[in-house]
Amino acid sequence: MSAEPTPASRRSTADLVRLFRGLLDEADGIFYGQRTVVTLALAGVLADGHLLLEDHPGTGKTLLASTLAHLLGLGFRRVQFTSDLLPADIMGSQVYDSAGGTFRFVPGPVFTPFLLADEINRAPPRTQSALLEVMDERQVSVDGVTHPLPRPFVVVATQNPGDQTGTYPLPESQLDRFLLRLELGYPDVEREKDLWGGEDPRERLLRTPPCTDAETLTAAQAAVRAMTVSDALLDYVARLIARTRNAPSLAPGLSPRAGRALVAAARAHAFLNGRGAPWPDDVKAVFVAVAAHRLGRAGVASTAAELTALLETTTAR
Amino acid sequence: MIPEPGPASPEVGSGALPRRPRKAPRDGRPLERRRFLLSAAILVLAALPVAVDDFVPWITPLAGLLVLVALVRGPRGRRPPLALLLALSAAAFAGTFLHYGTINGLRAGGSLLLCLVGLKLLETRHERDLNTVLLLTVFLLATDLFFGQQLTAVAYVAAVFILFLATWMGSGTTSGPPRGEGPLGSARSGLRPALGLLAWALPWALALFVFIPRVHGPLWGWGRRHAWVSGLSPNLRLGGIGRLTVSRRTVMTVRFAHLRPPTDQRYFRVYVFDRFDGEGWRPSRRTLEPAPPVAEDGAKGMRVAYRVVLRPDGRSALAVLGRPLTVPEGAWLTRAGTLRARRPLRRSFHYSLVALRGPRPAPRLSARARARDLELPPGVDRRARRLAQRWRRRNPRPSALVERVLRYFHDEPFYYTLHPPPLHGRNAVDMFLFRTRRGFCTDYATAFAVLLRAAGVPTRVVSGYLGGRYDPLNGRVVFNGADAHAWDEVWIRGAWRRVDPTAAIARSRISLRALSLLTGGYTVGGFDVRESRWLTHVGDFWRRIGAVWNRDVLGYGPRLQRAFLRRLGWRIQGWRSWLPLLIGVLVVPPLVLWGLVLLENKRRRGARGERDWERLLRRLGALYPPAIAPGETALEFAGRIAQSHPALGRRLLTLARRRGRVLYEPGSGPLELRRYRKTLRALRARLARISLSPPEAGPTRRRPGP
Repeated sequence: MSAEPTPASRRSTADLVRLFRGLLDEADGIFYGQRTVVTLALAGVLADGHLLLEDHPGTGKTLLASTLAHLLGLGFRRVQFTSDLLPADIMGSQVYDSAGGTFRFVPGPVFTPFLLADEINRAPPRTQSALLEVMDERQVSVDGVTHPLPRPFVVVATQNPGDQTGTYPLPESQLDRFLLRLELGYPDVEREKDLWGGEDPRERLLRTPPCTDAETLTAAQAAVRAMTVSDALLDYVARLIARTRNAPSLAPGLSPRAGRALVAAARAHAFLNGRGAPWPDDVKAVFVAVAAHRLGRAGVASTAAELTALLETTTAR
Repeated sequence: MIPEPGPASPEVGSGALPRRPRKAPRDGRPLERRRFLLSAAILVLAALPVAVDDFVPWITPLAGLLVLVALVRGPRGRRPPLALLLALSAAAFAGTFLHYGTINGLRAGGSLLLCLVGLKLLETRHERDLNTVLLLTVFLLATDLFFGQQLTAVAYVAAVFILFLATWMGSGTTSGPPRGEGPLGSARSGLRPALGLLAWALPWALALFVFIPRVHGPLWGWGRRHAWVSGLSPNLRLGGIGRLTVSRRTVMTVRFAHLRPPTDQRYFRVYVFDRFDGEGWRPSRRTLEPAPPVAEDGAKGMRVAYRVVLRPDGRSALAVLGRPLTVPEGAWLTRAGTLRARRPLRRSFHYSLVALRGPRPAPRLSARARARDLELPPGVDRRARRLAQRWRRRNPRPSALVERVLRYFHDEPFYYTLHPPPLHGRNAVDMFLFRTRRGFCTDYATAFAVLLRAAGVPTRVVSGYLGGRYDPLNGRVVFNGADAHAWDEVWIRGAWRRVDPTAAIARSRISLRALSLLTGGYTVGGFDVRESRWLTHVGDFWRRIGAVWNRDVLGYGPRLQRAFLRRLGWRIQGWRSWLPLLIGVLVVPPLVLWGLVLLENKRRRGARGERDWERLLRRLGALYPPAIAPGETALEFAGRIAQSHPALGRRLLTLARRRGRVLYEPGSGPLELRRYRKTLRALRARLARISLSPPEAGPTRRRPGP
């Protein structure tokens, strides 16, 4: 499906939903058999959040990011984080303009709607925190001058869980800035066979036209934000959060900001499912992705398992 | 809102049968001993006023014995054999009938009810028996009010009722298991809801009391025969007044207009007897002939004006002090100077009289009349007759003879007692005068009359009320059953003169012990038997409250009501003016309550729909296990069912979607709610038709998760 000629601001919510569901279908064709993950990633974007992709090399982290960027019709830049990367390398810097005799701000790669921060844990903490600050404030301050970032602004960071040497793991306070943490995992064997024998997904991606544009995405994000949430659902969220706070292994439990993130992600998920408001099904769908990295002191994998068990025993009706 | 059954609710998880729990198995449970004892204790408390007030020497102890046996045995063990229970019931009926001559009526009914209490407790074993016990308690509490409406009695009934209500509400008889610990646990936990319930009920009860048209006298005294106060009998048997005289029931009140005669002068005549058959007296027809009132001019005597309120006893005899100068409306005067109502009294009767006290002039006593007033059954009481004739010879003047007889009663060891040895046979008077010498007013009046008649002095016996107790707060003299009395009238010097032989007995020979216990210190047969004066002085304040209660609550009759309503600005003129009040108290409060209930229902409807949903889930879980897990959402559950049962799963998915929209999407309208309910109903109906058998292939359980 291609972008429709009507201006995004005048489209109805139903149209927007149809549009983004079409985008999901397209992404499904490229990113084989990982519809759940793609849905969550798109939900994260619709909730105006940033994503942290964590999985082993070759599982398609970069492909996922580029697919999303391409189909959303957003400008896409990729920064490979290394141990010698400096903040200025991402943000941009004041450069002396010999012609005019003045300093001129040269924007870094961060000035893009869609930024892929590859292997973010390889950069030194200084660079990491600079990026994370930008992610939160959506503006860059260099030498006292503030430069606003374009809207929408999505950062997709990747991490390689296997690598331990020469990495700087992100502290919990920084992890909090990512709305969702996603693991890609492996596709179905059948779909994987298609992948092995079929067309290179990158080429297929290049052939596919974008489904939306930045304006449409902003409108959809506004529609998601405007979604009302029922008391019944908030009760369910409260029950979940209370249980994370009461479980000793998950102490100190989810923060109020995490709760807000959970509801925001659930909203976006509901939007993608064509619902008028989030249901417990949406909360359940996004819960582990929202909560695991915020609680994962003892190791994200075991935390995710524990959160899944918690979902199963918390009354969802 | 969703009620949360808890993280691991066993109800949902265990796949319980989706059938609604029935009442029957619950009620068939054996009764817990503590619960039994508490309920039994409250029942006994409720029965106590009836037992005390309606004490019958052998029925009441029998009931008490049954209760005692039941309490000791407790709710365990075998029920007493049916034959025994039937025999006991028959005995209770027979005893009541023998004692009262009927099994109808308030007092007979009260006795029967007491036996019923004992019998019921004896066979109480299960929860459902408790319902009968509770019902009986309420019935007895209402019955208590028939026996006494004094403030203390009402306070007692109210206290027991609150205790009962608290126990009932706390016991879980209404719903759920018993709550609370300890012997009074259930009562304690139920006290607050019980008081809340009363707080809702009281204002309405008060409005009904104030605004519903009142009738004269108590409602149960209105047109029903068995509720009347027992009064004097139109026949006088030896030993006959005894049972009446221990009653403290008020029979009449008298308000004297000016001067109140002293206690020992307040002889209210009710019946005059002139025919003696050896064992008892009855009036001859002559005494009952109508007669004109006393001509006012030229009549001698002290004038007395008073107003009488007589409690109904189903008879027409009225009480009168002195010789009436006027005849009140609805009454007539007999030749013997007694007053009769034109109709038997079925409600309180009021009448005002002006009368003359003093001897009753009867200058001309015809030979026939004289003969009748001297008549004695032939051949009986020979010894008494010989004695009388001997006295006559020594005291020719009638007044001297009277003195002689009275001196005889005073000097010889005659005792006054309410429990005399029985007198019977043809020579009862001889037996009394020379053998037993124990009796009360009837016996003394009879003996006196026989002696005087034997001596040739016309004498008749009069029964009525003497004395009474002055109630300073109301300004009335109150007569109760204990004031019933019998005395004589002797024809001396052209007038009937009153002689009270009972008063001649030496005070020291009055047996009071049992009497004062029973009467609590009132006058009996003209004697003041009050032993402890302090009783009457204690609690002046309390008595004043009691007086207000008597006057403004118990005495809230048609007149007071009209006055009160007038003060509220409502003038009663004809039945139409009642209508707004009746609508106000009978129609408006139920409507308001109804509205409140509707509002509450609306508020709870969500919860009720939720209950239906839970039932559906339970039913589904039973039909297609495993049941829904706590963390499973409706959609997930529906999806799981759809895997094994596609058709049903589709319906369930529709239902789950509608439910989700209603529950989670604040913008969904009433239409969506109706649709959801309709789908829910339809699905429940469909499932109800499916028999409870396992599905052909158990659906696999999908693990919920991201």
